Amino acid sequence: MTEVTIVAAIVLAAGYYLFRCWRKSSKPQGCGDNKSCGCRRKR
Amino acid sequence: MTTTIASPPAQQTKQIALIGNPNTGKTSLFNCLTGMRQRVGNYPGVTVEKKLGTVYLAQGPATLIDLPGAYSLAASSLDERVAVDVLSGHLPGMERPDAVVCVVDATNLKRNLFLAMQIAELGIPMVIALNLWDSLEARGQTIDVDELEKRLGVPVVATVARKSTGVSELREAISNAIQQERCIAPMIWPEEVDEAVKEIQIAAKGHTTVALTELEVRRMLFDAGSAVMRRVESQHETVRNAVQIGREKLRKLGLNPMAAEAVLCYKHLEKLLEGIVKQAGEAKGEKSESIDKLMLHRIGGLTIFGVLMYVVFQAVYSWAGPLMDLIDVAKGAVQGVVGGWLEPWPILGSLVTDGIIEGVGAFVIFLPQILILFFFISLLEDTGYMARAAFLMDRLFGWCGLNGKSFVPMLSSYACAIPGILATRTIEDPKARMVTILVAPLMSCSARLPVYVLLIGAFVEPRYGVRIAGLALFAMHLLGLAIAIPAAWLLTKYVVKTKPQPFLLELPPYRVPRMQDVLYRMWQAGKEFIGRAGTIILAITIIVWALLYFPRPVELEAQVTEQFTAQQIAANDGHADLVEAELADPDSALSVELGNKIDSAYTNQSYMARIGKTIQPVFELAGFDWKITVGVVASFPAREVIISTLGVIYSLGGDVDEDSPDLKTTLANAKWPDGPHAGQPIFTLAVAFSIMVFFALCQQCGATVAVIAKELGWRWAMASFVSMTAMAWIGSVLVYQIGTALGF
Repeated sequence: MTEVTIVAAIVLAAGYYLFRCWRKSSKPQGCGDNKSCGCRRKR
Repeated sequence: MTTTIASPPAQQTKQIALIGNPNTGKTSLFNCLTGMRQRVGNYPGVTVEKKLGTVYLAQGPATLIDLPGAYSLAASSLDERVAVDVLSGHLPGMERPDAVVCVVDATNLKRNLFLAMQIAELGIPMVIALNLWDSLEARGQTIDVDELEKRLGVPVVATVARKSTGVSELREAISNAIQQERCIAPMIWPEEVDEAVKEIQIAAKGHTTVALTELEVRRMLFDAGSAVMRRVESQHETVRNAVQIGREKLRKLGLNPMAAEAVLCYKHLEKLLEGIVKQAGEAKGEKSESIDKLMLHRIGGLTIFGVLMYVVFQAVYSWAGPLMDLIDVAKGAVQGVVGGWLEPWPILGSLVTDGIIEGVGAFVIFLPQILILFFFISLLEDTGYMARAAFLMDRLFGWCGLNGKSFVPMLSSYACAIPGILATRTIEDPKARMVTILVAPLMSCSARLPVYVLLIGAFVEPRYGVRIAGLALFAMHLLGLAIAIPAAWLLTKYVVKTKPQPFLLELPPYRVPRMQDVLYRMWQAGKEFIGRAGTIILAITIIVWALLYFPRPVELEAQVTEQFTAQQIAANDGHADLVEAELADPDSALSVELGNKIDSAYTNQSYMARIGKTIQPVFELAGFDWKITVGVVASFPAREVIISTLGVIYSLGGDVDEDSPDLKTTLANAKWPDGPHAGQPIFTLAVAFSIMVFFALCQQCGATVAVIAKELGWRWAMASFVSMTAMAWIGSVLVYQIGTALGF
């Protein structure tokens, strides 16, 4: 049970991260100064 | 390196702006002054990159702002507008700088000081950095620095940023300039200009969001379509009339209003610089000019360009091998160790070894190629060759309604489309800029490189050797450009309807690149690549793993085991005891085969397989099976995700064994399990090229779509996404069908 809980938590965290990333990149300002989500690539 | 330096309280931190013409070594000087510690972001409201660093002065740490390179403050392009706004303190959230360092090309003093004279009107303390002093000396010339300092009234420091010469003197001069508030005496304008400026200021009162400075008003008077006009509410009629009256006054003086500033300022500078530049020794021949005779030759230049590009991609392909092998070995070792630790927890073990390490490792393996590519890109840029390439491409781009100016952003897009799109802000014609933005994502960015290297390494190199493999990599990079040119022609002729504008380009002299800058660029690219592996790639890999691992019905394993055992017993003439004995040994070939069959059965009924099998008919004509389809679909947020996705799919599906130590070999061994092609290889040469063409032409980058939306609006971003995806699908279908018909 503990193992399944840990795996579920990791998968949910990854899903939440991608969702946050998508939300940030779809805002008018895009990722702007905040590159922590890794969306914005610079040269 | 990009760091998060804690800034001292705002009221104590002095703001120093660094400005200069392009190709004056401004970035090198910025790196020298800040010790390469930078913070990169955007100016509020615009997509112009803001680069900040910390410079240590006698007064303590100060913030150094690297402003976009500009020839003047004409404010016709986005870059110049930002520079004017920062210097006049009109950019929201940014204070007016306490001092300005104007980087001046010592070999081209008069033209470079034009910008300094414009900034002088703001009354900000200034320091002049006479950079490229070594180039001046190479010409056998010298500048009387003391006399220039006396005439300008501000500190002048000779620097060679490439060699970090004069940097401490410059730091000291900045400290003094802030303390003593020394500014360049602004030039004296004819009475008519001053009168016109005052009249426009009066007319603009109450119609602007902020009170305009004299410099800004002068910009409205001198520049056609000045961005400063946007500050005036709905371009108020009274203000427009006042500007027209002012321009009439200039015409009466015999001056063309658009050229008046340059004529008057250069006259002033000619007088100011009299006797300043001296011939100290024998003038050496202009090396750059003689090299350019060959480099810019209509045929010779293009041949050299082609050969150089071929060499670059050949090197990218063939040099990386040993390093890639090393990363692969390290990945295998980590998998072994971690897999051992997590043996008691099979689900977690699978997530970490088959998912995270396999997926992220499959991606990280391409780090050497990225480093080599950026080594060459920065080498070509720093030597001054890129400007020549833009010149060579002007004719080609003129044919499709653009000009050489569009080539620079397109060349940047070979590294990444985002800085390429941002670099279009130097294109004055909005329609040409729009077309350049729309075709820039067709250039083969570095994210496509791992896909090409993987497939070429698996299917071209074993059959045709390293040389042809390098050529194939070069051809894949040319494909984007070959499609971009007719696409730009169609867009400029039928959609946005624009004609090529005249192209003016300053060719910087050839320089020996500073290895520190080249290595720094490689470090940044590598850090960015690894950063993506640890963020978006890691997250997508985890999701892909979960969708491939679940559901996990317990009865499936029993069913497969029963079926497999029965088949084996039948094949062994009913000797059940022999089969059972072999299956009891976990290391026997039969046990390994059964294990792979169970893994494959689980993967085939996973959520991901169901999704892949539903979408697969769309890609059937392109030769994709459900696994490739899943890889392609998962790559829409970021195209390099296909590598990690395929890594996880084949690792979980039981396709990885001792005969296929890496993903390349696994793909080469993959076979259709059923259907009309059962037993035949999934990946033929035609399929490999079909996938590569799809990746070359498709808009699989969420960040690029977002940047296009910011620059041109969502309508154009969606149009770009849909058209590129359609083009990619058609291209890959054509390649697969023709390739298969030809027997590849």
